[in-house]
Amino acid sequence: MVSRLTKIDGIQAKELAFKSALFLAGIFVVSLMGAAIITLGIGAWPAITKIGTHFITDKEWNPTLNQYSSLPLVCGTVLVAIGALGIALPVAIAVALLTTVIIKNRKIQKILNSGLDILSAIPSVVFGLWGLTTIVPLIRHVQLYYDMPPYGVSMISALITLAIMSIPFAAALIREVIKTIPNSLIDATYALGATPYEMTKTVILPYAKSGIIAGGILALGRALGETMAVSMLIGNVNHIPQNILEQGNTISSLLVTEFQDAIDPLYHSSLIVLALVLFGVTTVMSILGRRIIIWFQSKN
Amino acid sequence: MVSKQKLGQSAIKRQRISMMWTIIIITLSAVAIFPIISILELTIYNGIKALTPHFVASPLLAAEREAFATAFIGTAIMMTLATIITLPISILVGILCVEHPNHWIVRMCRLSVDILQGAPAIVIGIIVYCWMVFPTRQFSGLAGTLALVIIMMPVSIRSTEEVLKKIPRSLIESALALGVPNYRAIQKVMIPTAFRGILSGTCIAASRASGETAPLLLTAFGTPFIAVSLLKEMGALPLMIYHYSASHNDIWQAMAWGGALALITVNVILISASHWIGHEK
Repeated sequence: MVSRLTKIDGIQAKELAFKSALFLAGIFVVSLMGAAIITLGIGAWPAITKIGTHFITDKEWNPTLNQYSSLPLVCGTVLVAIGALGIALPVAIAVALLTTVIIKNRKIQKILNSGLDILSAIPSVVFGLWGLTTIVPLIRHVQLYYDMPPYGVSMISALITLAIMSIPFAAALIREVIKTIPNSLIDATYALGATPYEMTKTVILPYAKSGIIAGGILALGRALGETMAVSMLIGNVNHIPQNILEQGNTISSLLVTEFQDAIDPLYHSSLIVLALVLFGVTTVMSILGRRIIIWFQSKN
Repeated sequence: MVSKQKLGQSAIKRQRISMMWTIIIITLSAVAIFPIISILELTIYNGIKALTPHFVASPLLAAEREAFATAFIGTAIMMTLATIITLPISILVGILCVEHPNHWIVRMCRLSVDILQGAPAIVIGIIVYCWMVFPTRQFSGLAGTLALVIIMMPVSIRSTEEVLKKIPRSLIESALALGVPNYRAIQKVMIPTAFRGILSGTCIAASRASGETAPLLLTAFGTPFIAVSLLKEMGALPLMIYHYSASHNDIWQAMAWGGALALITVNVILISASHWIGHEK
């Protein structure tokens, strides 16, 4: 009797230990996130109080003169990311349609899809290396044509490479969205005599609209945070961009090139402010995009 | 009669529009495929040259050989450690999310995973820099490993949860009905059933993390010397690619391409492994 009771006690103790291990792991993840946000907040505070509105009103990022304006970097980031997505999104939609509507052969679809998977596995730094050897010489010619100094590295180089990088990711997302459309709907439209174009226009696009928008938001969030390829190709010059053929800089690229050298506390802190802004914007976009996709999938 | 002719004409017109639309889509896709073929071609062509024993033996100086080797060693050490740390945490959190789906900690967990997954890698690098590098004034492989863990964890947790959710509840309930305690049922039924899926998700997470450069630049920093100590600077393949990519020295360029080929190969192997593990049976 006693031994049986102790056995049950033992099981209960183990059960408790297991449950607390689960919750400890959960608390670990939550505290990691909390600590991350607190770290950024504490790090950013001195700059926020000291620089305040000058972050937006000033026009120069020049740490040697104690000028910390986020304007050149925000402009560069937005320009490069939105420009890249402007190129990437139509192409990604075309690729997604190609692998779902036009090519019906399962085997070819499979090959194309695994091709896309492999592409999204190419690291950013390899795209940077590729851009340096192919895009940069190309842009050098263009710059010479327009009588500009032929640096080669410029906002347009970064933009083009970023667009190419975003295509596989965006195409894979949009493909998943299109796949959730019920086949009966597509077949019914074909049975009524619609051409593939009419089917796409009347069924796929209206149906998948919110999903495609969500894919765009997610891809934009990723493009905003993209660091290495951009940093290698953009030229890292901090002024407000006048011409897309000029050198520029983005927030993420500035962070990776300058953060280690930021010994001055104010400099260090204002870089963390930029990191916090980037973090906030990309997080909101990522959560928003994913929520829309989840809502879209549960709707079907 | 007239209406029939009209109908025929409009049908031809519709067919033509559809044809044109198809051609536009194929052209756009071809535009997308072109640079991608170029990347793969350049990487394979230049990379294979750099990975031959001949290249490593003769044009490389001893110091360059050391820099080349330390990149491979550093990536291997940090990725292995990061995977070993990530796997148990993500299994535990995944189980927690499935067992207590409405507990407030689980909700916070899901939010944290969302936030961490959306964060750009560079921001994670900065956070780990503030935690480990700034106080000690020392870049370290340990900091690099922590950054990789934070990058891998959200992906891994999410996929683990998805896999665990798919296990039929009846399977676990039948174990419970036989009088098996809850933790034994999880240990003996849930985890073995889901293990392939969990492993597959971990492979995907590892392939994501293996190419990360920006956070490693702020944490492990990279070194041209053979380094196995976790408390000192450590080299990594992406860091080597970054450091040598902009040089005009042909041999250094070749080393960068060799690193790129190695990295892509590892990624392709990891992704194929994940497909293979996930779809078996």
